[in-house]
Amino acid sequence: MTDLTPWQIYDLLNRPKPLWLSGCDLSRSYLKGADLSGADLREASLEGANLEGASLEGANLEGANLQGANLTQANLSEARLVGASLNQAIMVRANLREGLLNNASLLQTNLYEANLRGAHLVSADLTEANLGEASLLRAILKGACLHNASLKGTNLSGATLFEADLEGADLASAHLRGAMKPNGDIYE
Amino acid sequence: MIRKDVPMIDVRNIAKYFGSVTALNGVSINVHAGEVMCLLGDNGAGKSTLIKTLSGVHKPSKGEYFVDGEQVDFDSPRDALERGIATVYQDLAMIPLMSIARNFFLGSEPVKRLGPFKRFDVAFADKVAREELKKMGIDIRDPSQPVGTLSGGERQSVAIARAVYFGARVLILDEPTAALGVKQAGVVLRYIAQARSRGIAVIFITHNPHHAYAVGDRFTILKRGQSFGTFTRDELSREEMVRMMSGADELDALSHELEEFARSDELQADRTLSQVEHQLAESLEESEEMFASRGDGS
Amino acid sequence: MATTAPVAEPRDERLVETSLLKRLLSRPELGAAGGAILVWLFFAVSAPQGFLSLRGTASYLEVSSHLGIMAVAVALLMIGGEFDLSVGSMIGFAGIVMAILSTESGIPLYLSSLIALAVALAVGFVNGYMVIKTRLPSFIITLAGLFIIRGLTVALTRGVTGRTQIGSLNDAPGYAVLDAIFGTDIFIAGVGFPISILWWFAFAGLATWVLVRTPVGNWIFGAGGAAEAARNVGVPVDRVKIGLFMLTAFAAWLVASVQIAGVRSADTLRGTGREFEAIIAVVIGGTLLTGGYGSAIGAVLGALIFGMVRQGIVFLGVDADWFQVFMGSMLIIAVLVNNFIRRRAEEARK
Repeated sequence: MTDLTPWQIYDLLNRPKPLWLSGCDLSRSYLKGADLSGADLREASLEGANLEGASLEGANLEGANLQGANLTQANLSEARLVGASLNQAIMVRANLREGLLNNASLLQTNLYEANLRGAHLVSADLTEANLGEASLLRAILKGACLHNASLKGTNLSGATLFEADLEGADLASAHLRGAMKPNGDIYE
Repeated sequence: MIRKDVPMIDVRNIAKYFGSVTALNGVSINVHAGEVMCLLGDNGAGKSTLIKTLSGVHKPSKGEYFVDGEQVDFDSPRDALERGIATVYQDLAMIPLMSIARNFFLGSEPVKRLGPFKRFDVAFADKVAREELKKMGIDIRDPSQPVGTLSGGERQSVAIARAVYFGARVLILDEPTAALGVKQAGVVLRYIAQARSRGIAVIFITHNPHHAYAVGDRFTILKRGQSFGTFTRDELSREEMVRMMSGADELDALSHELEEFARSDELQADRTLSQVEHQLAESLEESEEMFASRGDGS
Repeated sequence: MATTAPVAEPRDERLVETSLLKRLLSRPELGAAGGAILVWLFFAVSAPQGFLSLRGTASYLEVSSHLGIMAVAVALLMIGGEFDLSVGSMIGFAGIVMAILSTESGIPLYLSSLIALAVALAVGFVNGYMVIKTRLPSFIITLAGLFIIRGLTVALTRGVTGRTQIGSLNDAPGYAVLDAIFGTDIFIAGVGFPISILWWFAFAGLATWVLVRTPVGNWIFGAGGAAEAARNVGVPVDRVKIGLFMLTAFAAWLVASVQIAGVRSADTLRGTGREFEAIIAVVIGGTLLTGGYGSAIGAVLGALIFGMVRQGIVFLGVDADWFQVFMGSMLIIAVLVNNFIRRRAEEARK
């Protein structure tokens, strides 16, 4: 739990942008609708925070901890989440367009109807994640682990699943046309 | 890293059909100034159709083409050239028996007026050709020597230098290192790095992962007319690049032989690559110094 | 007060200051120049009486000029990557057109000459256009032209005049003007040098200037060396080639005019074999059959050798039939020598 009082947080986040919050502890804080676009949140802790509808557009969250955070409909487009931890986070309808999530940890993350168009998820761990009805158009999932993940109705057109681990993954009604299979071939 | 500036070239969902044949089926790539984008793919992946579409030879059947954020529709290669998009093809670049300087200025000869007559300013051509090549790290002893006396790598470099001199902002290079030996390929790759440091956007088409890796900033894999993501070096290793480009079945069939080749290739390539990378690193340092000192009001 | 010693500029050993000699050695004309000197020496030594006289010189220069005008145009065309085998027939055709127009319609010769020029240029254009459009080798197209034009010439003449020769053109209207332009002699020390020699040198000078000092010349080398590469950088290859075919037609007309002024007659068979002689002179001069490399000066030297041998043999008293044997052998020797010299020159520059 963060040490900062809500007033301190309010003050902090209304400073002139871009915000420098690297390593900051904002765990379990109330940040609903906050504007953190372009913020430097490297290694910060947002564990369990409520970021519903917040804007983290273009923010740098490298190595940050967002476990269990509520990111419903949050805007994370073009954000850097390399090596970040998003386990069990709720990211329903979140916007992760063109996001960088290489080596990120997304165990059991709920990405239902999320927008991951063009996102990079190289070697990301999506074990048991829920990507149902999400858009992964042209997303790059090279070497990602999708063990038992749900991809029901997911749009994977033009995505690359090269060397991804799809064991136990549920691909019912997924759109796979033009996507690249783990072995390099192309889905018809 | 995601570049914020507007890409010099941005094509989205390009498709190209020739009758019932689908040459391109959804290709999206973008290149920024001062960036080398490697387009990799095996034969038949659609590389050549894509370059021809980018350089204005073909019109895309579907998709959008943006240059500097503006949508364009080229009718001919001249149109693309006018916007600074220069394409250097592998085998149709130079005229072997003609001198370097004359080749450099062919079609755009510098003239001095002599009353109503136009005189070809040979002295200017010689001087400028020599200077431009020197700027890119090639010291030709005599600009009036025939281009045929140059090595294949040097010839490619002259063709690229020519494009750069005549104002190319985007260089599309069609397999420039394909027919070249290791050392000569190194010459061309060094040259590409120089062009990049001058702020030119380079699209480098190749099927050689070693060369791509030595000089590329981002890599797009083309397969069966589709593009499969652009990767940075830490997102894709050379070996993974090769595996992505070729098909699974072929690989299975040849797996044993490939293992052998792969092993000796690795050794060779590491040597080659380290040579090339070493040279590149050297020349990049040189050129950075050169440009740094230029900035001090020289 | 410190004095700074002048800093010596680091010498680049690789910048070999190409000496005049090296430059000369790499010229395509070198072989032809050598050949010309050798031939001249040979006849100067073995038949000094006729050969070294002013009159003798005028005679072989005249012969050279008739071939030389043609050779210069053919050289440019071959550098541009094409052949014209119809030039011999063109010479006959242009001459006949001129003659018939004057004798049958009373048009003054200098006017009918201009009409013949227009016709010749039109034929040249057709040649070039056919080569571009059909993409057939110019060798084939102009070979067909050789026969078609010759056939037309004979048929036309026989049809209109019933003969194959039209003589006494000095009686035709306007002959005097034609003669003044194409047939007079320039007198040096009492010996008459035909004006065709001047036309030859002027044409050669102009052609050389265009080749090496104008953009068009660069385009000619480009079109012959690698037409596609040239097109890619914006050279109007098609226009250049058509222009070159019109140039050979022009040269054929010029030779025909000169010959009519001099011999005062037109003949349906005039110019037969000229196309091959021209090609030989051009190749001796260092131009490559494959195009993209060569020189008009070389063609001049080739034509000069031709003229010297033709007349020299007469001065020697040798049977004139040996001339053809000589020309054929000369061709092979010239090509071998040129290749050798060029290869040496290329290495010398490295």
